[in-house]
Amino acid sequence: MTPLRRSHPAIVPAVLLVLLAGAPGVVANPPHRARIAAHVPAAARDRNPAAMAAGDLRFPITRERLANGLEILVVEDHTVPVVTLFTFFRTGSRHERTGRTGISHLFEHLMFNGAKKYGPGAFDRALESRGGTSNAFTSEDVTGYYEVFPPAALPTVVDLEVDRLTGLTLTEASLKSEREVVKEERRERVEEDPMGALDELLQATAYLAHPYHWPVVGWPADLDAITVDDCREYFRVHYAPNNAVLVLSGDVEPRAALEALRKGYGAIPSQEPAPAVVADEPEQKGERRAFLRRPAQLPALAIAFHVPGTKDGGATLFALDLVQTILGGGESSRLQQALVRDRPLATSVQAENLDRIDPSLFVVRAEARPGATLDALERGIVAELERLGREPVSDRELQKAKNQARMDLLRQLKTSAGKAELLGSAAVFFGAPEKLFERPQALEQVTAEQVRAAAARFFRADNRTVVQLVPAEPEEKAGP
Amino acid sequence: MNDALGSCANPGARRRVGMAAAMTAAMAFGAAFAAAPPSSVAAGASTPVAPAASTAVPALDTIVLKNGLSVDRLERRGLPLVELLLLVPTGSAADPPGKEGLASLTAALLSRGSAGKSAAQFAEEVEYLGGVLQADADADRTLVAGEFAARDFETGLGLLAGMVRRPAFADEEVARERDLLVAARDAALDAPEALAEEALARVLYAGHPYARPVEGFRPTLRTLTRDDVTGWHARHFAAGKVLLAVVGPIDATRARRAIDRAFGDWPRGVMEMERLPAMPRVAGRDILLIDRPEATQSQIRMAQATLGRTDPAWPALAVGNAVLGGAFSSRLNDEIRVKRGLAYGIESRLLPRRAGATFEVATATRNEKATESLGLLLELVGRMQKEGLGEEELAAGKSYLAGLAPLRIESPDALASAILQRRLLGLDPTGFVRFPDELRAVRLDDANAAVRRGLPGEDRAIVVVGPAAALKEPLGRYGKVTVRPAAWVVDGDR
Repeated sequence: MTPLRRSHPAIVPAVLLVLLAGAPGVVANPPHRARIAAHVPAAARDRNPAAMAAGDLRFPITRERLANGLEILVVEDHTVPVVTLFTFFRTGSRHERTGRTGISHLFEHLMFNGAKKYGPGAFDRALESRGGTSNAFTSEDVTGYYEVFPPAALPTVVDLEVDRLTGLTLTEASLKSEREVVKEERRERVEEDPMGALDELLQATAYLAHPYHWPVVGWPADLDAITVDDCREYFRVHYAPNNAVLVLSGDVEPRAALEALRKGYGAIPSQEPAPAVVADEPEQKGERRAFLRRPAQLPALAIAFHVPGTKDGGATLFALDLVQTILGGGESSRLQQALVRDRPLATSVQAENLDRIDPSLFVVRAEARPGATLDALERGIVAELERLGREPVSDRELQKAKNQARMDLLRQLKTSAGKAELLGSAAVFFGAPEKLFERPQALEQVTAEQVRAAAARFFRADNRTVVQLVPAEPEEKAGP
Repeated sequence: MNDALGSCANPGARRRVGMAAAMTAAMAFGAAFAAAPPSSVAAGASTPVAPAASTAVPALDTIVLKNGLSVDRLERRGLPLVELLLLVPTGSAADPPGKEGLASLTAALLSRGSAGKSAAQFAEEVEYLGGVLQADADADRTLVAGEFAARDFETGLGLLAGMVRRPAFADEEVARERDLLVAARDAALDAPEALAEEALARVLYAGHPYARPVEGFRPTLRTLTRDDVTGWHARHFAAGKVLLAVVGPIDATRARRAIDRAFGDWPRGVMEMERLPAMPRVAGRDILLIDRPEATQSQIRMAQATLGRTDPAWPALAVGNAVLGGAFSSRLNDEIRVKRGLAYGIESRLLPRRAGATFEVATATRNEKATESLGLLLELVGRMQKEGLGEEELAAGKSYLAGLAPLRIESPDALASAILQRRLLGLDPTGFVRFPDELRAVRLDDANAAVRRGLPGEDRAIVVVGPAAALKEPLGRYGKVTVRPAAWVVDGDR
């Protein structure tokens, strides 16, 4: 699922639009977020700024961990006079509790609404009047904030960030107004979007025990229940320097930039680590099914299988990434060929191995062609998944998937913001930014047998959750 | 396509592409356009203007082959990727009446088999290289975008050439793509933003080719045949008509050799750029209400024709737009989202096209607040037009746009898009390097004159997509309301 953003993508420059979706400027296949090596030991920092070859995407990074635990990464890139400062907090809807779902995302909005030095509205005015822009996103596992700005604005940006981290103002009025904004966001993404609504039901059905059960945007009643005190507590527990990763990328001189960051962030005290998320998901024993009846033009469905998360997925994750590409990566992928090309069953189909820290899902989504039944569509998808678990892929098909995955990663390095996002994600999801650089080789080592074994292991009926969108007449829903 | 134009253009809903590509393709071609440059309103005392951005772009090497093919090569080292962009300066505005959707169907079919290869073989060859090669149309142009590893430059260019020169247009592919386009029109009925944009075009450009959806109408799509497609291709695809851009670590010798091989023997064709009539001006302030009885949220749009992209006052207008609704700290966002919590997003944008540019405001709000939001945005636009900007707003808006301008040429594909898009609009292809300075030169009088001229009068096209039963009466306060069913948007007037 796409993480929720603070504001409409349309309001930020195009370059940022591609950032979080993992989408390159010139298309990619599925929303392929880069997966980073989890099982290979971290490589030594590469200080050789040689030009990259297609097979090697290394670029130099400068790292430092401040005494308060803040991890800082700096990447030099002088392509254009622009800098990105990305801050990742290791918190998201995974850290929430029943009755207060959606607080991570609602709180993310409140981070822009005023602090001690820069009051209400002043954050955006100060940043934008210096030629910068900002946005933020919240997902199940991470909350990210970024500013993109001309190099000269760096001191202001650091001042803005440090101000809100040390002196955030939380008021009833601000919460009340922002809650309405978030409800509009929810309407747009869930109530008014059949596939968004279907996805919400999929997560809620596939997960019984783990907080991934609830939507990042939160249940409507919970949004109403969240108080200012809840927000204060959330801020206190999760927004500590020792719970964050900072990536500065772009037109900077690393040593001077590091000095500026040290000066700004160094005095923020570290805190008790946030309580660990102990929830786990019990093994699924038997297929689950759910139906969503709502007005929609075409039926659709989503199928999910439990798979390991990035915390303990090991080499399996890379095999699953290639499974994703083989099934849904591009026009030549198996699902596209079988369901859209060879038989008129779907208008669109996608396969996605979700990036999640805790036990994750492999999801296939498809929208039915007019005249096709959901049952036929489902049978068609399941047949392809089972075939992948039965017959090893050919050498050529495997190499194609590897080439696609490698190029998808390369595409995300086209902007300094893209580099920052990949490095930060590697740190948050895989424990170290350098894991990013190990990905190409890890993918290259996956064998046809590993792909087959992964498909056979996870694409089982007992491990399957199916949700179907069944179109209803508008009148049925129009009531109170 | 990226927008290095100092404005933005969201061509509205993109049709759904077969795959997961729905989102990514929209980003590649559409959303990049959506980059709304922006603005800023400042309250602070002194607003520093960002320093000049020294965006050094290596010299553009433009080659014109004997057959008239124009190639822009820009050498950029760094990433081992090469961007190949081919622009045909004809899009859906040239769809024959009754054949709406033809440009889109043709674009969709370009990658469905060529030069003796089936659709499946073609896709497999491109994707085996990890490459991407696909096409789409908008009102003004058809764009083929390719991206390959630099070492595969020659192969990628060959595949692209086969696609535009010898597309197969096999009968079964034509039938399938046509069905998929019709299904995408069905799906648009579930996409309120798409409905709003298309409905807006219908009233904003009434009588002009731009009024018709790029994606076609369901009834017209169903009439499209293979002959229509081959005829379209024969008329609009030829060496003398198209523009090619190559951006990446490719030197002149290597580029020249590969381009000669791939395109050297492509016939020139007959140069005839079809003329687009000037964009009409909206008269009156009627409200088109598209009925979605089940909606929980209403989409709101307001638009009017504005200054053209080549108007010298364009940078000044861009600054005015930034202050009004381009940035997060803009007047519209501040009043409607920040202060009142009425919307998740609201923005104003300038959309330059070949036949002229439009100014548009877009937002969505819960049904019971739709009338209030519309009233507020009309008031804020009117106030900007009458009273203009303040000095601090001006400084902030200039700085904001100038600071972010380099982002539009940061990635190699954005750079390639910027070059060709500027050529399409009759601008200097690398003029984006001067845009920050043009912005900084804008004075208060310039900006105020530009918004007076660019957002004139009270005559504006207004569209609301939401439940008519609840909205028709209250919206009447702002204009005469006409209700249409959502199907009217995707089916046309028939």
